[in-house]
Amino acid sequence: MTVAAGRPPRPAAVRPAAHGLRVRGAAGHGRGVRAAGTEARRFLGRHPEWPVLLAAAAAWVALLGSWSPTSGAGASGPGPAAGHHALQGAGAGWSSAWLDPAAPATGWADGIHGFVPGAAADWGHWGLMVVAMMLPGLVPSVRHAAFASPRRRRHRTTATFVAAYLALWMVVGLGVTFVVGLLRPGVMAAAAVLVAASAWQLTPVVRRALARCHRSVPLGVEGRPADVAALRFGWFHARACVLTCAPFMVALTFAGHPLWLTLGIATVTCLQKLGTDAERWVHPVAVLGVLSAVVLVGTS
Amino acid sequence: MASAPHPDPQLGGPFVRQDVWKLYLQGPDGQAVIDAYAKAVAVLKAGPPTGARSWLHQTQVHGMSPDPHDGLRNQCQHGSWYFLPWHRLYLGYFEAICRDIIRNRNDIPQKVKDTWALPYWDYDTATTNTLPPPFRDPIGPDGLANPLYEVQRKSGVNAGTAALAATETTAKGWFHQPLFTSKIPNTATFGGPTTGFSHLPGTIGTLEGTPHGTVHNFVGGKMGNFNTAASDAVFWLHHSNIDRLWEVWRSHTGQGRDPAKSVFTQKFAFLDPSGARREPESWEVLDTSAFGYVYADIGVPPSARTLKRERRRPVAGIGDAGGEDDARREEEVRRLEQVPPEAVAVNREPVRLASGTASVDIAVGPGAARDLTDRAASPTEPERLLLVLEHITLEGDNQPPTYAVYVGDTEDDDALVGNLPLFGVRESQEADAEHGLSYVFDITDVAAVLGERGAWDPGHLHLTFHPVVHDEQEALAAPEVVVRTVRLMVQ
Repeated sequence: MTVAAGRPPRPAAVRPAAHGLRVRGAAGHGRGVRAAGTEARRFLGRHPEWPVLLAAAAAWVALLGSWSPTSGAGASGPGPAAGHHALQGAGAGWSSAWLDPAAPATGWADGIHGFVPGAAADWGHWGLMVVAMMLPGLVPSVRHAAFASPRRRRHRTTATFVAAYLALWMVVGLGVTFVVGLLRPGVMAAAAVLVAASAWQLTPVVRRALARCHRSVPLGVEGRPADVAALRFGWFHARACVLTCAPFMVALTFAGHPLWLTLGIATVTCLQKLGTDAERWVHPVAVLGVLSAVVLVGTS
Repeated sequence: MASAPHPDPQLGGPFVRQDVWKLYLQGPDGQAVIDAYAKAVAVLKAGPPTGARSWLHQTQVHGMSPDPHDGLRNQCQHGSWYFLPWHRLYLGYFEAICRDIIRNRNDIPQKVKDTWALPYWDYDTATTNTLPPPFRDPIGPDGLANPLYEVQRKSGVNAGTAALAATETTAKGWFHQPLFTSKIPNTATFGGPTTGFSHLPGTIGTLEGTPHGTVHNFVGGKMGNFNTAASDAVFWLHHSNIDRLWEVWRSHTGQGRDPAKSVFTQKFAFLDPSGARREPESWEVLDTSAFGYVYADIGVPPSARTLKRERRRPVAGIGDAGGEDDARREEEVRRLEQVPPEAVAVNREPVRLASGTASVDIAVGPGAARDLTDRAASPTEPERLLLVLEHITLEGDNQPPTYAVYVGDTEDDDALVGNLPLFGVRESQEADAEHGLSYVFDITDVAAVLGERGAWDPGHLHLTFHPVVHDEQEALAAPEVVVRTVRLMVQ
C-alpha cells in the first residue's frame, strides 16, 4: 500500500475502526427552539434544492400577480401586454389571427426608444416563466450536483449549474421576444406552433433529449475545475430541456400566456422530467397539445 | 395471491430449489432433476416464436430491440429496487412453465415430476466455481444435441478450465448491507436505488454488481448482453442463485428490512403456463411463498463467514449481537436512510481500463480535510465511506473483463473495494438510456482494516483496477473502458 510521504493530518472522520466508528446518537442535543433549529438545518441540508424551489415559487407569485383577468388575455409581462395581439388577431380578421406585423405596437410607434423597454420587459417576463415552469423539473439534477459537491460549496455549485441552465433559456427567449415584437403572432399562429410542438414530441430527438434530462456529467469538488464542470452540467441540461420544452414555451408566448395553458405546460414538462420511462409520455403529451390548440382557437 | 401460480396442493409441501452441483454429484437421482430441466428447455427451444412456451419469447422478455411496446418484452429491471422482484417473477413463471412441460412427459421419473424445481448454481466455493458439467458438452447424455449447451460463451468456460475468482463471487459487498433500498443518491444498498420502472441500468445495488454482474461477465457470449442473456440455459440457474441470495440476506442482515408493501407496488406483466397475462405487484414476491418454493440452503455464505467479527456490523447469528448492538444497528440504519452522502474528493483525470492494471490517485484537498475535521467534531455526524464510480463508457465490440478495484497496488483481500463487472455498460450508452452505469462501494471496512495496519491515508487515496483474467487472449483483446468519475464520499 502506497502511503504518501509527509501526509497531512488524518481527517478524523475517516479514522479507522480501531477506535470504533463512533455511532453518535441522532437524538436532538438541545431542547425546544435549539432542537427545532437543528432539525430545520438538517432538513434543509438533506434538501439542497430548496433555493431552486423558492425561486420557482417566487416566480409563480410574480406571474400570477401580473395576471389581468379583466382583459380576458393571459398573463401580462411588466411591459406592454404580450397577449394583447392575440385578442387583436381574434377580432381583426383572418390574416391578423396569424401575424399582424403592421399592428401598431407601443414600441414601434415610439421608435427604438419605446421598443427596447418593451422588449426588455417581455424578455424579463420570459425569464420569469422559465424560472417558474422549468426549475421544478430540475430538482433531481440540482440534488445530484449538490451531493456531488462538498457541503461548503454546495450552493455555489448548484447556483452555477442553474445559472448556466437559465443562460441558454434566456438566449432562446431573446430570439422569441424579437420574433414576437416583429411579427405580432395571432391566435392561429399560436395554435399552429402548439400543434407543431406536439408533433415534435413524437420525434426521436425529443425521446433522446428526455433521456438526457436524467443524466449527469463529471463534476469537481474544488476550485475553478468545479465551477467549469457545474457550468458544463447546466449547459448540458439546458440543451436537452430546450429541445424538449422550448416549442411549447414559444407557443405559450405566441398565445399571450393564458393561465390554463401556462399551468398545463408547466405540469406536463415537469412530469416528463421527474417521471421515468419518458417514452410512455410522448403520445399523451402530443394529444394534449393538439387538444390545447383546439381549445385555444375556440376560446379566442 | 390471485395473479401468480400457487403450489400444487396435492404435493403437500413447497418445491425445493437445489444446488445444481450437489444434484450432479449426487448421482442418477440428482442428475434426473437436471435432465428434466434439459428436456423442458428442449421443448421451449423447439416451440413457437411467441407465447409462454417459446424460448424466443422468454429471451425477449428480458431484453430485445426495438422495444415492441407490448408491456411483456424488453422489461428486465436493472439499477433499481425492482431488480430482485422482477427477476423473481420472471423465474417463477418460467419455472412453472417448465414444470408443466415436465409433468406431461413420459420419460421423466414420477418423483422428479412431482417435486421438480429450478436448480441454482452456487458458485461461491472453490469446487463449484466452474460451469456445471451438464452445461459444457454440445452432446447430451442421450447422444442428442444438448439443450443446456451454448457455444457462445467465453473461452475456457465450456471446457471447465475457466474458474470464477473468489472476488467475483464473494458475499463481502452485499451480505452486511443494512438497507434494501434508498431514495438518496449515491447510497450503497443491497437491492438497488428506489426508482420507477427501470429497464436500462443506472446505479446498481451491491448484489446486482457482485456476483450477478460478474457471473454474467464470466460466462460472456450471450450472457453478456441484455437482449440475449436469457437464451443461455445457465442464465436461469444463475438467477435462481441470485434469488436465493436475496433470501439469504432477508434471513440475516435483512430481517425486517423489506420495502413497505404500500410503496412496492409496481406491476410487471408476464405470461403464465396457460398463456394468460398476469400482472402481479412487486410486494407480492417479497418472499418465495407466492410461487410455492424454498431453497435447500439459505445459510450464511462461505465468503461471509470469513469476514472478521470485529467489523462494526455484527449480524444476528454470526456475531456478538446483543441488545446494545441491535439498538446501535437500528440507529445507524435510521441515519443511513436520512442522511445523504457528501462528496469529499474526486479524480481529476479519467481512468482508462483495458488489458492491464490501471490506477487513479485522489487527493483530499486542504479544504475538504478541514471539512472532515469539523464534521468529526460534531457529536451527531455518522461515518460511512463510499466510493462512487460513474460516467463509464466503453469503446469497441469485444466484451470487457471484470475489473477488481483495490485500495493500493496489491490484490489484497482486505483492500478489495469491489468489482466493475460492466454488465450493462453498452446498454447504458444507448441514446434512450436515462442513466449511465454507476457503482457505489462501501469502503468503510476497507479503511478500517487498512488503518489498523497504518496503511490508510485519506489525504491521498490510491486505487488500482485489475482485470480479472480467465483467458489471456481475451484479456489482450479487451476494449477500452473509461471511468470519468471516481468520487470519495462520506455519509
